Amino acid sequence: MDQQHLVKQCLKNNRESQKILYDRYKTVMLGVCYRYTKSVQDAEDILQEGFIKVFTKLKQYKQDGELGAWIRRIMVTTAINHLRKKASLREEFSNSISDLHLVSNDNPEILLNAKELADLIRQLPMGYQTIFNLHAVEGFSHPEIGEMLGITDSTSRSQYTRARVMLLNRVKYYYFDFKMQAHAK
Amino acid sequence: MQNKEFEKQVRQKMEELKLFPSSGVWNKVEASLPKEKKRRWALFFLLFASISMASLLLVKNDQRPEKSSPTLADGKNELNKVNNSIPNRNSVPDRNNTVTLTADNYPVHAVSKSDANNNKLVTGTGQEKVDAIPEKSYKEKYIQQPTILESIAMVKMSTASSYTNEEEREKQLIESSIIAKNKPSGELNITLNTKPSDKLGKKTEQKIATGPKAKADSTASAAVKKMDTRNDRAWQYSVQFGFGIPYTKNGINNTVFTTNTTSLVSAPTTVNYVNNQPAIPSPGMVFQTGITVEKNLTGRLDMKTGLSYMFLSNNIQIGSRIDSLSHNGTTTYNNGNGISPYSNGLLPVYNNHFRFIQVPLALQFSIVKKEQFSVFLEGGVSADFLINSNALVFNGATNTYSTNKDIFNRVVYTGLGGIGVKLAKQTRVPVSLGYQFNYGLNPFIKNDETQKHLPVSLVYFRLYLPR
Repeated sequence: MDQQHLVKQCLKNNRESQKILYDRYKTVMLGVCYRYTKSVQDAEDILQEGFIKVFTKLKQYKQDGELGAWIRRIMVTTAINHLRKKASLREEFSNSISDLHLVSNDNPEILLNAKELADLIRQLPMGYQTIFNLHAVEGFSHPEIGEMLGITDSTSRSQYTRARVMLLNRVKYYYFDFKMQAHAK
Repeated sequence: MQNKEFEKQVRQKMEELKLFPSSGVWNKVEASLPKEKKRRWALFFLLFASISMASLLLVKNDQRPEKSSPTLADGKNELNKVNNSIPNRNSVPDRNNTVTLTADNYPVHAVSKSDANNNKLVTGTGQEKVDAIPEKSYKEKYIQQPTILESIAMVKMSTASSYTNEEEREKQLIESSIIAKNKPSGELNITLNTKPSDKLGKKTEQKIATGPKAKADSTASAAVKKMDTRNDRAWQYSVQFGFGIPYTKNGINNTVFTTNTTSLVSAPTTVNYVNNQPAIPSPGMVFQTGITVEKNLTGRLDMKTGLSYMFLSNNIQIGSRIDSLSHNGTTTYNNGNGISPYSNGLLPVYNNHFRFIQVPLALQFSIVKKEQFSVFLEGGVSADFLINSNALVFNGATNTYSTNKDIFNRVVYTGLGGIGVKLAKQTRVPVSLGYQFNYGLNPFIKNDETQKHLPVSLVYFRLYLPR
């Protein structure tokens, strides 16, 4: 079933087509939700809420755009709203860690698989995790992020810098631990 | 300026990130969406159309006997037509003054029973003899050749039961409900309700058979036969009740009733409770009831269709009801559907229910066809619509059972076959008893790699309604 026909059928509330659309995007979108949360339960809650929005707001989707990108945007917005409800993101942004030092300046090749890297991102503090995802992965600019999260551009920029340093260090430590474990064996 | 290489790598990796959500997510999404009105409407339309069609056929069927069984008034009218077609009977001169024919006792068939050899007219009683004028001239002058309608009347009289006098004979003639329609093509339709029994009837019948009206007689007989055949080919309604078991051997519906949602797990054959494997279901029962309609196509071949409701069940041992569970000891997964999951175990017995609406279309071939009974073979297809189910589905990833009706195909196309005996005379109303085996042509479970189908075996009883 091509995308245009699928969307038409979903707009007619055809359950089978809605299920097809869900099955087509569920794995990618759960990956998106997973990066913004700390638990699988929360990720699935966001996925569920996001897909309900997708089906109820499908009329607003313009057929010329990429459907996957449109759904992804909804998932990200839903994730941020979910985090806002669950915890105070503002507090998260204000509790910045001051003494961050980059272990080294080189950019290591990321040999981790997608799940391992996502788990490292999820281990970042909530504010860092959110801003890193929005900027590095989704590609939002700092002014856009500021608007979405209700913070200033500079806060977003500084938070991102810190998040990046923290993640780089963790990636390097991850390798170090991995090598040590391999050596011990 | 930050080096963007890191971001690029992260973005690429995250594009690859794909995780499978549990089946409960879709259940919740679906529950929050507006009801799918169109499909329900289509289902109700289908049911309504089927019931309407069945009712229409029933009404038509009820009307048919009225056409072939006219009222007394109709019979009188037809008789008048017959009488009027014979010109001026009361004015027939009685040359010898031996017999006086009047409108009241004039035996219609007597006219046709002239004995050419003896030049005598023989009345319906066969007792009055008339020294007739030479037959040829008498006929030419006074008696027209009987019309086809007269012939029909004669056929009727020849087959009527014993008469005591002419008056009673005419009365019986009216009551015997003759319908004769002179179609443009000259074809006749006739229905006779009484049975020939008396000697006189036979006697007069013989006379007719050898007389000049034999042709008309055979035409009328053919018409009667045609009517009988038409009646045989009318829709025959019956109410059916069936009982049986779902076929449970070799795991065919082990996987039907306990299914891993991500990849189908073959059920164990020796043990009941193994981690990450579903238990073996025990056989339940099948109950079926509905209306069937049959129509004779040729002598031995009948077509059958109808509308049935089928209830199918199976039992399975499961564990206790849970709200969440731990997976691999580290990550907490939500349960099967987040509402009413059960752990794997041996505690309670859960009864899986499936309810179907069936629309069968089958052919019945009579291998033995006698007046008292017939033995027939049956074969055909059926569209079975799953209307409701509470069945638990096994999730191998979380080792739990939960409901997930979306895993089942809503329509199962079934091949059916069987053998039956129809008893027509032994019982007050015709009944038939038989065995039927149904087998799903398409898998009962969507995306079923192991192609598990739905087999059902049942014995049925069919009670035929009057035509």
